[in-house]
Amino acid sequence: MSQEIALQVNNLRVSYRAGEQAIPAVNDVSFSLYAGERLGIVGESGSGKTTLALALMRLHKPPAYILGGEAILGDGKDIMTLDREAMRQTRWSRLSLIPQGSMNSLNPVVKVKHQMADAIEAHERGWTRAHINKRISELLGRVGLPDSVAEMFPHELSGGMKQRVCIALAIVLEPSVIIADEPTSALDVVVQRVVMQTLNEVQQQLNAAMIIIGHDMGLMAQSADRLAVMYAGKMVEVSPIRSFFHDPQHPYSQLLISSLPSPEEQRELAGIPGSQPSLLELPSGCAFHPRCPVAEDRCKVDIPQLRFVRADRRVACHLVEEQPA
Amino acid sequence: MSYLSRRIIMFGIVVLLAATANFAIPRMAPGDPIGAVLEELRARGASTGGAAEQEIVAAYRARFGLDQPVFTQYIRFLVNTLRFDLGYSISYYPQKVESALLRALPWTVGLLAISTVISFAFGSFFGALMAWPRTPAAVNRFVPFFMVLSAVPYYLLGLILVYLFAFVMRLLPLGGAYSSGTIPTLDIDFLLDVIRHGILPALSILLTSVGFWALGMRGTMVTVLGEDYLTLAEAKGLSDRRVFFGYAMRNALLPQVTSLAIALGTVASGSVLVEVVFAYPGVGWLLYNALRSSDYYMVQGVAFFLILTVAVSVLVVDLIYPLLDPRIER
Repeated sequence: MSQEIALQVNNLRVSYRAGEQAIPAVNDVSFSLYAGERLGIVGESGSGKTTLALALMRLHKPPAYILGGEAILGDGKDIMTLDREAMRQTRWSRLSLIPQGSMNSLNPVVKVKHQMADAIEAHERGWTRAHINKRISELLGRVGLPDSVAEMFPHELSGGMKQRVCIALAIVLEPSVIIADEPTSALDVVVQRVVMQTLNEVQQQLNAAMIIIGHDMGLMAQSADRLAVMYAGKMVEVSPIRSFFHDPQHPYSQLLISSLPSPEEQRELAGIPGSQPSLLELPSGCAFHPRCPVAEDRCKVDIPQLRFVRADRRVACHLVEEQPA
Repeated sequence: MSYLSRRIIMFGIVVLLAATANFAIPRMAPGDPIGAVLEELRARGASTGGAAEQEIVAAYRARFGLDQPVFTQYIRFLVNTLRFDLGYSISYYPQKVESALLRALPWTVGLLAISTVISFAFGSFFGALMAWPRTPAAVNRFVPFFMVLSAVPYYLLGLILVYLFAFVMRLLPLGGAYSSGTIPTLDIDFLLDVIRHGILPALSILLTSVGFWALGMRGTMVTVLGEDYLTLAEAKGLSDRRVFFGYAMRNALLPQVTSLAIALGTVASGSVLVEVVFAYPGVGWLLYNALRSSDYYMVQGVAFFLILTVAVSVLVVDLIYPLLDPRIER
């Protein structure tokens, strides 16, 4: 894995307007994404994962709006400050999306071929019709679909095939960042695995960076290089995947891991007591403190910052000691 | 069975049922057509009754085939109907019903079908714009305007328009399809005259129906805008124009097209009142006059013809629909 940065997100804040109040859905999130790596983002429903993904492509819809922060691509451009036309050009050519619920992500009345071609045409690559068609059949081949799919309509495809079309579509312009928002949540486990393999293959061939959003920890363990855990709009831990599973640092991560079944040991599965706080009335200090088994007094007052506790691990918790590598 | 043959068989059944109803209903009504004519003749003092009258009645019954068994009458009626032989008009005897219909038809189609299609196109586009988030806010100020207009009956608006533009301002003719005294020809002057006569009736239909299309389109468009494929279209970096027409409108139009089929089918019957208000010599005007003069055969003919137009337009849309929506099998 190279250390070339594909996307650097700094202090990104996205809120939903609700009357007079602003609901902080993504609250001061910063992370780096390296070329060729796969960063998993996990969190409960409502923790801000999808809002983060959409905001990175500036596809968020009102009442969501971006309060501040930057998202800098490899070429130094900040996505958050691009004008409309530059943003349009950036989408898909630099950043592409594999959407949540791909079942309905394809236009039902347009052939697959044309849905792939219009992405190319929108970016004025000056390709000939023959070149575009060749590229489409090459991409379909790469995700394991026959050429004939190009002439088909979405309703003629199975769920797994549709998801493969979405993957082929996502790499049509060879972007440097691919955002996969729960790419397999609508598929059964067998298809899930194959689709995920395909996705990982094409990502490696392109050496693109990929953000995989989801709540399936098993899938993350198989696919992601690093894992970021979101809780109530904040990132609470970012770790390489192996050390995360072996030695989670944040109390929330620890509870998350102990709630997973393990083949090695038979034990009672522990849940996490309580539920995620309302974003409208976040607890003071650390948002996790009411559910945290080890919370101290300062957790109720000070908001912990995401800081390096190891050379490659960042955790937002007062109680985690920094250890020299 | 293929989609096409299913549709065509369906069409055949509808036409057959319509013809049957057309045959049955007048025969279930009390009295008979000859009696009705006699009644009229007596009222005018033209008939005195007696044996001579009985003979005349019998002759006429034979002439119209009313002395035959019902089943024979039915078969004969069906054959005639299928040959588009709708019988003689009573008021304009010996004119045939179908020739009167064919003379009225171009006016109705020209006025009503064209204004319905314009209203559909304009209303759908406007409705789509109203739902589109990047439309200037000014467009949305028209929403209440459309709502009010779509609640106004078109004949009422027609009356208001006639009063204002024809009676008070005298800008446009009061009624008719062309100036009386001119002979229908295909030259520019006549065409302009027809257009001048068509403006007010067309406007009354346009203004009252455009709101219906706009509001319907706005509704489906809002639903389509929430679909995942719209997010993906935008993520692909497509231009606004491409997303609007190719993705949003393209899908939101589908239910609108179904409504258009029904609207076109009922165009002829539904706007009888417009033709009455404007004394426009179309099918509606024909029906109105036939009803007033108890011209049974004409009423029957017009009714059958209207069912036929509905069936034809539904058939046409059924045949076009698979091209618009590939999910409907051909």
